[in-house]
Amino acid sequence: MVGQDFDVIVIGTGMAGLTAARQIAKHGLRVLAVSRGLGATSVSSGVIDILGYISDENGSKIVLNPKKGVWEIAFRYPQHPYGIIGGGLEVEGEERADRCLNTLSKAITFFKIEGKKYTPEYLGEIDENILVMNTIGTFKPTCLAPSTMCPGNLRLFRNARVLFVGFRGFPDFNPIYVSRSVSYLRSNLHKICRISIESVDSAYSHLSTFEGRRNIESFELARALDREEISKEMVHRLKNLTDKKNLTHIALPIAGMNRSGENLKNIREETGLETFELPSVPPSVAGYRLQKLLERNARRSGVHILKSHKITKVKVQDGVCNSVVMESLLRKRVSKYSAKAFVLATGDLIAGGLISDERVIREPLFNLAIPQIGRAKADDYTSWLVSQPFPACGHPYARLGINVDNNLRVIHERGAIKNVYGAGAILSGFDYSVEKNGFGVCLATGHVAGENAIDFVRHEGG
Amino acid sequence: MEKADVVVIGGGASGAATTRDLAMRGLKVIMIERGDICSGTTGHLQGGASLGGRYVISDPLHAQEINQEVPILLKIASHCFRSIGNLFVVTEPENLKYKDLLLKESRKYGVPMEDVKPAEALRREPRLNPEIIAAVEQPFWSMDPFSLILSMCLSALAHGADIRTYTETIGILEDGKTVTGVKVVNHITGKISTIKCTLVVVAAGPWSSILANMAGTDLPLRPTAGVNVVLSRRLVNMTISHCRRPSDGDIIQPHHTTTVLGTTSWPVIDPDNVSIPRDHINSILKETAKLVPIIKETRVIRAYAGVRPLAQPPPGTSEREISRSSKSMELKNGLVGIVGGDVGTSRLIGKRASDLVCKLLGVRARCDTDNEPLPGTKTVDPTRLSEKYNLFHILAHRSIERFGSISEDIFGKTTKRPHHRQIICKCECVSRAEIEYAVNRLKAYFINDIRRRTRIGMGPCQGLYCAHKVAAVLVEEFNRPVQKIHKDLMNFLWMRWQGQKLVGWSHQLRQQAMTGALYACVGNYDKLTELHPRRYGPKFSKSSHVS
Repeated sequence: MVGQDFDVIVIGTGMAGLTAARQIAKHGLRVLAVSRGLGATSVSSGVIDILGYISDENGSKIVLNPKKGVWEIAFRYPQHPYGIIGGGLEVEGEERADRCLNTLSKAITFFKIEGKKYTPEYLGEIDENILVMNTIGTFKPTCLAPSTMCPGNLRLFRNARVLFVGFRGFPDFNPIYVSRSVSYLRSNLHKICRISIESVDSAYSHLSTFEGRRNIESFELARALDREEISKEMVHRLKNLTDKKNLTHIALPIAGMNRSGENLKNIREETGLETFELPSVPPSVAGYRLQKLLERNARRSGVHILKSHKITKVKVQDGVCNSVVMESLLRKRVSKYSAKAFVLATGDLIAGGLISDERVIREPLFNLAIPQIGRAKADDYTSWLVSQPFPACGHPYARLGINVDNNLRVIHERGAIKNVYGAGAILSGFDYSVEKNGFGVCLATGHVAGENAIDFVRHEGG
Repeated sequence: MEKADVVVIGGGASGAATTRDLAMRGLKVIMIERGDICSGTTGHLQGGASLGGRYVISDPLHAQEINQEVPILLKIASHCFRSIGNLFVVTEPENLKYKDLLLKESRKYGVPMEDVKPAEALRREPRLNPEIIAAVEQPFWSMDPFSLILSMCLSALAHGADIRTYTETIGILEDGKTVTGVKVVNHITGKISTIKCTLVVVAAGPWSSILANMAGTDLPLRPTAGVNVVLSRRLVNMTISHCRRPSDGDIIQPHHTTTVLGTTSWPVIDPDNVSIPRDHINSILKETAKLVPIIKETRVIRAYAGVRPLAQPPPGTSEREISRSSKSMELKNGLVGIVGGDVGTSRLIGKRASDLVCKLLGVRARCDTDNEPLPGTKTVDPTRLSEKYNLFHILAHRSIERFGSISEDIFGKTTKRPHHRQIICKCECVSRAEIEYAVNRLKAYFINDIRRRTRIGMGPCQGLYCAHKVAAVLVEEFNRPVQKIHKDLMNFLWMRWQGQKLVGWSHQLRQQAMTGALYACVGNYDKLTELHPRRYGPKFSKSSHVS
């Protein structure tokens, strides 16, 4: 068995795990981030939700200012992850909310500054949600978005005349459907804020490299658009498509893999129109780009990233975890890594941080307790789902997760494990699908888990 | 006011077979169905056909019928059947006697039965429980009921019948003591109209007694529900059954990309209101895992229940003992009813009903349904089809499995628009051309109807990745108003969810979390309530049925 010692080992390399890992590395500690597979961040739509809706028994309301919204959540719900990072039950309401906001703002600022070195960089402010359309013809509030998507912020639209352009042979995006759907939803948009879309239109563009193809995949299309000649062809075709059409915006499903920013700039220069990409459902290029951005940032800050490794065993003694055993999925080699502190950021059911087997939802690594939330019990599968596929308050199971104390230390059946910090979607008490706050929680809890791990290593880990 | 010789109520196996038979005998027939073709019992079957199976012991009358009818269906509708064989497996020593009985009785019907040694059975079916004691094999076919009944409808249309889906009977017209027509409402247009006819055939399966009540008479039925459980992939090559007296969770059947496990049996009162008991699902999974242990680890994607229109038996008979054999009877002047029967004997149901109708109408016409092949039966070579239209080979293959030679026509229409050969549903490999054909030619109105014709949304992802693409095709190709399509899409996902929510554990829960992440988190469908229909589920005027 080979292995190494680290100050901190972060399990999971999604938004939460890498946020924590980078934070730790920035402070000069030796940190290893381990991942088993691609993770859920890379199948996300690529936009960063902080808080989109607040739902309670009186219904749900849209949040246009996430700063105020998060404050309200932290104030009202001490056991929501936003409440916990504000200090949880131990801290009074207003102070808790202020603390939470403070941490969240810091995490967002870090993320944005770090991301600046790469294109497309992430734009957006914590006190203003943007409204973005997507590739299935609806829209949602979100907070940060890659610069390639930001011009599509519906809140900035004034007398907009938008052309949705799809690619022939690319079935994931149908410009006609999306344009009509957006047009239909205009009246709803008006209720939310002052938005004016004068007209929407749609068109298909051809690309000669895909001549005769019928099932182009999103990644294939993105990679093709990174090539000079194909990107030139696209710009040229878009110019012809938009000529004399009196438009203001062009919406594309994808504008490239790594060169999307440049491609959009070229289109803007040639056509004189604001052009943007749309967040998409999986397989999503923007989500993959976000994952790559997080990984590059982490590596630059000095994080060691170990991929395709499955943790098979964790060693916990007297409420302290001191090592993990992992197996390489590629070489079947088993190694033991020890560290002074750990961050558990393995995600929810989708990512595999929680698993459900034989009708029990459990945390497979540390066997942590999954507390009952509302009427959802981890060991009663009949309590997990409701009859509606997309209820406005979410499915009960979605709020299930691991319990943490106010320092984000994970709670075992025999109390907190002193040096393991939970972060991200694995936490209980929130449902990102309906609250639209997934990456916000990941950023904030990742940030705090990182800081707390640093504290532990410096003060107690010797 | 419209006129017809006969109105057939019900668009399932018996309705379609009767309509086809009567139309072939030269009568003017209108078939009305309140939902879609196969949206009732026929659409909730397991989908298999044998030459007798265990019915040779439990229901000789029905065994006799299947034994005659299945070969006829294999001849006239070969594209709806796939020969896979059925392995009866003995796991408990006390069932060896049953095996001998099955061999003996099957011989009487000329069903070829082969005794298979456990080692040989394991070689043929490696996923079988290694502890089996004995096994016998007999011929068996997996059958696509959607495809079979659709073909029957197409044949009926070709013979001049009129088929109206989403047309619900809201009243039976009478003149004195004679039935003279029906009053119907069209759920798509909302229009109410009447159809005058000499005779009405009630072929509405478990709903038949409700219709008979409408005419002030009685049709004695014992509607009996059965649960089926669907697994995410094909686990076995053959159909595997417990070799024992019929009981819960006896059959494992590969069906297209999935495996269907069946079934249970319990009486229900209202066929519109069947809630699936969770313990039935559990007992099916437990029982079938005794045959194929890997079932315990396989993702269960949904559960569904169908209601069998069994005849009311003498008091004290259990549901499993009631004969599946069908009967046609004159309920009153101008009204014929059908009880019992299953898809395997649907042609015979049609023949029996038509014979009675002809006798009552004084028409002399011969039944020819056993000679004329159904549309789609011609053999098509997938390699040739894929080369001719430059299709992915798997698409050609799957399309032929679903449509038979109709595929030729489907892709023939894409010569000017080759991009319509693109695959929309990746699980079941369904192309855009098939979706368009279903709407254009096969009377599909809603996304769920397209599902019944093409299998979109019936595979491992249950519509997660393809439903919005199908919606987009409907908007783009058929100019459907987008607000209606959104509601249709939500309704479709709702109906898929009803089967999934019962089995939401293990990796299926993960899959369902993904559905939430896609449509709620990214699509915001949970908050944009104007995209939701006011009421989910199929549109029936239930109030009129309460009697």
